Amino acid sequence: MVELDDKALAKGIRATETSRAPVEGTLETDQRVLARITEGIYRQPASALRELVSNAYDADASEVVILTDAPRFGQITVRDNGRGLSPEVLTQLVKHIGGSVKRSEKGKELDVTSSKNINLSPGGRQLIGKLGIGLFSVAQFTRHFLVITKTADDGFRTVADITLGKKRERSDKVEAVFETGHYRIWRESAADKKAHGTEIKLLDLLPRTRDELASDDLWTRQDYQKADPDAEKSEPPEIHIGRMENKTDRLSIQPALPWGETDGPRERFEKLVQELRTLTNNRESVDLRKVSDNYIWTLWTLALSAPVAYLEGHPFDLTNDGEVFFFGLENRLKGQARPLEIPKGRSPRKTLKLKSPNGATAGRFEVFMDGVQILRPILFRDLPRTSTAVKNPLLFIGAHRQEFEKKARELTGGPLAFEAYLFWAPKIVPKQHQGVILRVGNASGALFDPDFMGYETSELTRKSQVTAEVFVTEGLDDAINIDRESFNYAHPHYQFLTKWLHSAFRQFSNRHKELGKQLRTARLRSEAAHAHEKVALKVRAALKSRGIEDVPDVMLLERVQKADTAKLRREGTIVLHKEMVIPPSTQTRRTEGEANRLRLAEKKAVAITQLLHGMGLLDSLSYAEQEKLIRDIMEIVMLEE
Amino acid sequence: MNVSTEGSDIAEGIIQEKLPEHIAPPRAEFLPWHKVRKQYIRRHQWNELTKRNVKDTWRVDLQKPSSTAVQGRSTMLVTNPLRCLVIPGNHLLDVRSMWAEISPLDCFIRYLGFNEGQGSEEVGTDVHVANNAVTSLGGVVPDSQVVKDRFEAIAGNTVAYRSLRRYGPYHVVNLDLCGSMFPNTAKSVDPYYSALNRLLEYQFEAQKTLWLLFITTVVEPAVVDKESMQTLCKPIRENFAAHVDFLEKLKALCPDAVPESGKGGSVNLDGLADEELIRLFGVALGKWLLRLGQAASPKWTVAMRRSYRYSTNVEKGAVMLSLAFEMTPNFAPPVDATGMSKLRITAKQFPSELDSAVKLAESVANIADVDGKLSENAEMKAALLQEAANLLESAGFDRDAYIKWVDGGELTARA
Repeated sequence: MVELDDKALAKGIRATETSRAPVEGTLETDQRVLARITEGIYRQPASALRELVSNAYDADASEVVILTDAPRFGQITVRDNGRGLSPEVLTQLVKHIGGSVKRSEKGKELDVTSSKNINLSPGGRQLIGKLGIGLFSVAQFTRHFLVITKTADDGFRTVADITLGKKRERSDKVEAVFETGHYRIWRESAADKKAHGTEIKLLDLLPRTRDELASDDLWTRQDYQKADPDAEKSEPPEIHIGRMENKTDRLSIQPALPWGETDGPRERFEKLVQELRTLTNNRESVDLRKVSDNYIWTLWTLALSAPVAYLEGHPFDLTNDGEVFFFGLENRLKGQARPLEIPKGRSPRKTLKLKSPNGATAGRFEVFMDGVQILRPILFRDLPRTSTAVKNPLLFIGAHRQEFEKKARELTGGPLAFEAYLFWAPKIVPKQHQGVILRVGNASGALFDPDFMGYETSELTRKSQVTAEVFVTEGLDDAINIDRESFNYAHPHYQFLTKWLHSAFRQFSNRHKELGKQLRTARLRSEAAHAHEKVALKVRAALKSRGIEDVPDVMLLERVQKADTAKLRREGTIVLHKEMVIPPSTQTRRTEGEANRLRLAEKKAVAITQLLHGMGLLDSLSYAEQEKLIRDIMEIVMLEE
Repeated sequence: MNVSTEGSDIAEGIIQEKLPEHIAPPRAEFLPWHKVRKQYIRRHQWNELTKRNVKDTWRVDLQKPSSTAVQGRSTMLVTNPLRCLVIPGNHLLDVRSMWAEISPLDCFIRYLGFNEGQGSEEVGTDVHVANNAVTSLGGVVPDSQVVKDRFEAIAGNTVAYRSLRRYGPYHVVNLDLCGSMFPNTAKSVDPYYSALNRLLEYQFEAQKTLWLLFITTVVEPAVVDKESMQTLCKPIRENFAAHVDFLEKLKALCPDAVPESGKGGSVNLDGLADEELIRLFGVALGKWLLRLGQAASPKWTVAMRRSYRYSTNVEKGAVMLSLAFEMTPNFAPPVDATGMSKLRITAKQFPSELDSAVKLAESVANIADVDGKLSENAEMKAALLQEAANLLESAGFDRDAYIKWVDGGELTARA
């Protein structure tokens, strides 16, 4: 089919008036759409760092170093030791924004994609990027940046100096020139032939971005509050990078960071997480946005999004030591979660042969920001406890592969495969970990969705007690929107995952309710048994203090058990009728608690009868009078406040 | 309703000052620190002393790249590299040179550089590209960096000071200053002394072992500021009366500076020959550092090591002073004088301030003239030329052009 130019197409359409033979063609995208993307489509500066880290990951880097001069934020450097960009790849990047060669045959030629599978990096990692716009996320930070890059065995570094949006001309009348930006590229000889990697140097950060990174709004709000005694007060952050004095090079507020100068990169992050655990001790929940500044939040969001290892281990590697209870999820809408048989000391990963990696899908991948190693900070142990019936954390695990057989691939988007977990604990630390994250290739642009993809609103409490992650190993990629922070809701994979998650949440919820009920019943029973024992001991002691060793046999029977009553009385047992001595319950619902209360009342009635009988105080009374007396006493005993 | 923008401050801090401009690719022109003299300093002073201390003192604590404990892990997780503080030129030649000498000793290097002139301009590109190249070298901790700050800024509560603390404490501090520490009438020296004081405060608190301090400064006897010089000489003046040996040494170095009485008051600056003034400055700076070291707790001994002078152009003579100081902590072991403990711990003797001062004066007398050494030894000069050419070539310079430049008379080629 020959594509028609604009004029020919218009002419062709008119020609169908007589020919009635429709014209055909493929839809085309205007360059300006992509040009706009380079102006910035992201919500916060952290997104740009996330995109650069993703690029490093796709380039098979084993480490990424981010350097800022916080809290000044004049420049930012992102340096990786990945494959680097050859002049050919760099050409592709600047000449075809949005036309990434990743996941294409050309990508194989240029060695940015595995020669065996276009969805993998040459090193075998599941690729995160696909469009080729990630680099331009830096527009969030600056209009001027450098790319310094080198591939192994190249005797040169390639340096690209890129300015964005400089020559865009626009007026009310005309929008003639639309230039995304301009590049200047040159080669610098390099003695270190073996070295490889890419460094992005963000120069002259935009004032607004700089202010945002430096939490200017937050500190300005504090200034206003100090100046105005009537202003609504908010606490200053407890963890922060400090504040610059306006228009000077000095700090007016010293950093308040939980780590020390001599702590190593990992220790620093551990101390940050430990600080959050500590903060949880004296408050309902820890809201990271309130207790920290934007810098810490940037660090944290990067830790949540990057495909790095978990700080305290992957949930699939939690060993069964009796602390966490494990359950398996069924892949049916009305499925039921069942306890998993995981031998002591073993993990779900081994038992269920789960594959989601702890970190990169191939090789080591570590990210450092200003000397802090960034690790996935989701916590599964040593979480604060509350007075809830279920005390132990619960881990619900599921895995599924949907082939969508017998449906056209164009309709289904191909197979969808994933592993997932829902982790319940009385308190999730910090608050921002409540919800679900969908990870594709172990990375995610979106943060936790606290709404669990629109799960029913009546479950607010349980929703706030669950952290969930879905590790998609195949599919869903096409449903990710170009900012990589949200999904196309209409995509079949997203729809499928929504239904699966809602089913999983329901399974968890039912199981949690059931567990709670069981635990509450058991607790009440045990409490009741304890109370009964105490009553019996009290009677025995009271009689003994009066020199009476034998505790009379007293039984409470239903009135219908007439025959038994007569027989037992003949045998010397004191028998009273329950209905006559125990005041009826005022509760309309027969709960376990109410049942326990009545059982205890019966025990007390028996005890009082034993005491009075033992002392011979009832001897002169008929059974009916005894029942009346005990009933009067019990009315008093059971009077409610 | 006033719709005028006049007086409104809402737009402040939103719009950038100027449109972004491209950086011109760096030009390969040769600069004063490309001269063979500088290579002599690199090799014989900075690298030699650093190497010696890596071998003799620091190696026990430094992690080794060859160790299986660190292999397969990120270099970022190395906790004990050789830590260096530098004021590098745009191509980080000193760091490259040191790496070439130190990396065969099997240790990691992590450095922090101060270079205020690096931003979104040509000089900045040089620094960014050079820093990228150096951090790619094996054994260099990859978060090593050159920050866009003046070294002097560490004196205040600044981002520069935060950086200093983040990368320290240091084994090697190399202050190859653009300005001068010699008290002069331009009065631009104060910030250097405050910064140096701040550096010592930090190092004396955080560094637990010997460290090296290199100071390269221009000395300008013709424009000496006498008042500042007297202040710098205060620790010397106080030694006059207390220590005859020191007085004698100083008299030998700069006879006209010592007053007739040989007692306190002030040093004679009037009519001092340039050479005397330079030597006096050397002793005074060393003595000032020594006084600070002795005022700290624990005390630090300051000793001058092999130091040099050299010319930057033919007219001015050898006005560049490259001083090396070795700082040693006076950690005394707990010797039990009561006899309760049966352990025999030997008490450590540390040189007194007066003894150290005498040695300082002797060391100043031995400051060697690099120009003389180079002119006397053509073979050495040729070897250094090759070394410098290699170094510059590794930084992307044209080797042949460099050799031509040197042959054309490097001292007259550019001031």
